[in-house]
Amino acid sequence: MMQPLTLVGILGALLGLTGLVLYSLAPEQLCLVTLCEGLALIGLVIFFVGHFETLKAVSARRSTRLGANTVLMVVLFVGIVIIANVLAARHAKRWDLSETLRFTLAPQTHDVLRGLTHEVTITVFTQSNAYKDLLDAYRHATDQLRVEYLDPETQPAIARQYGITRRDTAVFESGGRSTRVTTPSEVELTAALIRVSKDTKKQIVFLEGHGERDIFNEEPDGYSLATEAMKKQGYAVSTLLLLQEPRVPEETTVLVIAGPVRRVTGPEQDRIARYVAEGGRLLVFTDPQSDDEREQIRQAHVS
Amino acid sequence: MTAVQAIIAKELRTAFVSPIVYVVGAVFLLSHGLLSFVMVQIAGTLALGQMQFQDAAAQLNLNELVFRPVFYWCGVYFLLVLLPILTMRLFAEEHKLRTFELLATSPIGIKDIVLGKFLAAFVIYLGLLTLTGVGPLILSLFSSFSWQAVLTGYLGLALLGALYLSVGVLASALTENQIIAALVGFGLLLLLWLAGALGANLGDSPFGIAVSYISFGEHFGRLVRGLLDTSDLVYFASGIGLMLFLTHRVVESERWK
Repeated sequence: MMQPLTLVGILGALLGLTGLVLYSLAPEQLCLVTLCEGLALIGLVIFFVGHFETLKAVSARRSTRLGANTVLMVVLFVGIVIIANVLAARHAKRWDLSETLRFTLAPQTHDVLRGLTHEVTITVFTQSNAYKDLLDAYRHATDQLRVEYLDPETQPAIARQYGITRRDTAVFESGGRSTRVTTPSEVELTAALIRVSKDTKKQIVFLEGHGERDIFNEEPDGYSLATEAMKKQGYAVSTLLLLQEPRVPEETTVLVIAGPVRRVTGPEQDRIARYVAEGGRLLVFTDPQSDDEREQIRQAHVS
Repeated sequence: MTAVQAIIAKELRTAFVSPIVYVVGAVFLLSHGLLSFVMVQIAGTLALGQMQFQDAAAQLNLNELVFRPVFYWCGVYFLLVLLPILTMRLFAEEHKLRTFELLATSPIGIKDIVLGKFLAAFVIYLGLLTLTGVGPLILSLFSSFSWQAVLTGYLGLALLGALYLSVGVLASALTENQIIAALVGFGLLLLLWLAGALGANLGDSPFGIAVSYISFGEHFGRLVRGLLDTSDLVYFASGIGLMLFLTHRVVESERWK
C-alpha cells in the first residue's frame, strides 16, 4: 500500500496533466482548468513539503548537482547552435556549382526582385518540385516573397477557388492584383512578378457597336473564356462604344476590334487613327470573308 | 603523436581486425556500384532512343540522370542503415569489456577520446567514398559531365555521412549492447529524416520552416543539386558538433552516476 503522501503527489501530477489536456481541448472552460491546476499545485506542494528531508538530501548529492550542470550545459550549447544556424540562414552566401546553373538568376530578375516594394504571395499548385529551386533562389534575393506549395489533389477546394485548370500553376498575388504562370521558367516568373507589382493594370479595351464578338458572351463564338483568362492574368478588360466617346481613353493599353460586322464610321476611324498616332496599340481581328471591312480598317490605319 | 591521433590509430587497428568494416564496405560498394550501373544503363537506353530520333549523338545531362539519383539513394537509404553499424562498436564495446572506467578516468581527456573515435569512423567512411570515385572516373572516359557538380555532391555525401556517424557515436555511448546502439542510431536518423516530411506539411509558418530546417533532407538536397550554401555547411558542422558534445556529456556522466 502506497504512502498517503506519495498518493497525494501522484494525484497532483495527474491533475496537472488533466488541466493541460482540458485547456487544449476546451480553452473556454477557464474556471475548470484553473480549478484543476490549483488542486494540482496544492497536491504537489503537500508532497514536496512532506518529503522535504529526502528532497534536501537528493539536491545536496553530488550526482544531482553534476546532472543539473550537464543539463544546463546542453541547453546552452543547443542555444548556441540555434543562434549560429539562424544567423547563417540569414546571411548565407551561395555558390552555384550546378551544371545547368539552375540556381543563378538573370540580372533583370535581380533588378525586379530588388525593386519589389510590396509583399507578393505566391501559391503554387503542384505535385512535383517544379518551382522549388527557382522560387528558393528568388526568395534568397528578396524578403518580399511568401511562397506556399499546395497539392491540388489533396486540397481541391482551394484549387477550385483559384480556378486552377492546369498542372504546375503558380498564382502571384500582391496588393489586390493577381496573375498566374503555368511554366516553371525564370522568364515567366519574373514577368509575372512585374505584372503583379506594377501599380496600374493594363487595360484591354474591346471596341463595340459594330457587331463585334461579345466579350461577355458565353456561347461558343463569344469571348467570355478569353476575357476570364485575361482577367486572371491581371489585365482589366472593358468595352468601348467609340460612337459616344470623343476619343479613345488614354489609359487604353490596346484597342481590340474583334470581327466587326458593320462598317466602322468615319468619326470613329478618325479617333482610332489619332489614338494610334499618339502611340496607342491596335489589334484587329477580321473574318476572311469580309474584304470590305479589311479595306476600311486598312484605310483607318493608313490615315 | 597527439592523443587524438593515438586513439584514431588504435581504433583503426581494431576496426580492420573485425569483419564488420569489410562487410559494411562490401555492401556499400556493391549497392553503389549496382545502382550506378542501372542508372548508366537507363541513360544509355535514353541516348540510343534520342539518336534514332535526332540522327545525331545524343546530348544527355549525365549529372541529372546518373549522379544525382545515386547520391540521393546513397545518402538517404544506404548510408542511413550502414553507417550506424560502423559506429555501433565504438563505445558499446568499452561498456561490454568494462574498459570504460579505464577510459573515463584516463589522463587523455574525454574530448580527445570522443573526437578520436569519431574521426576513426570518418576516415573509414571517407575511404569508402573515395573507392566509389571509380564510377565517375570510368564514366569520364566515355562521356563528359560536370565534375564541379559531382564534387559538390561528394562534399554533400561526406558531410551527411559525418552527421550520420556522429549520431551513431552518440547512440553507441548510450548503451553496452552493440545492436541496440546500431538500432538507436538508425532510429534517430530516421526521426531526423521524417522531421523533413513533417516540416513540408506545416508549410511556410515559422514552426514549419524550423522543423524542416532541422532535417538534413533540404541541406543535403541543395548540395547534391550543385548549390554550395554556407548555411548548409553551418548546419552540418553544428549538427556534428552538437552530437559529439552530447556524446562527451554522456561519457562524462558515467563518471559520477
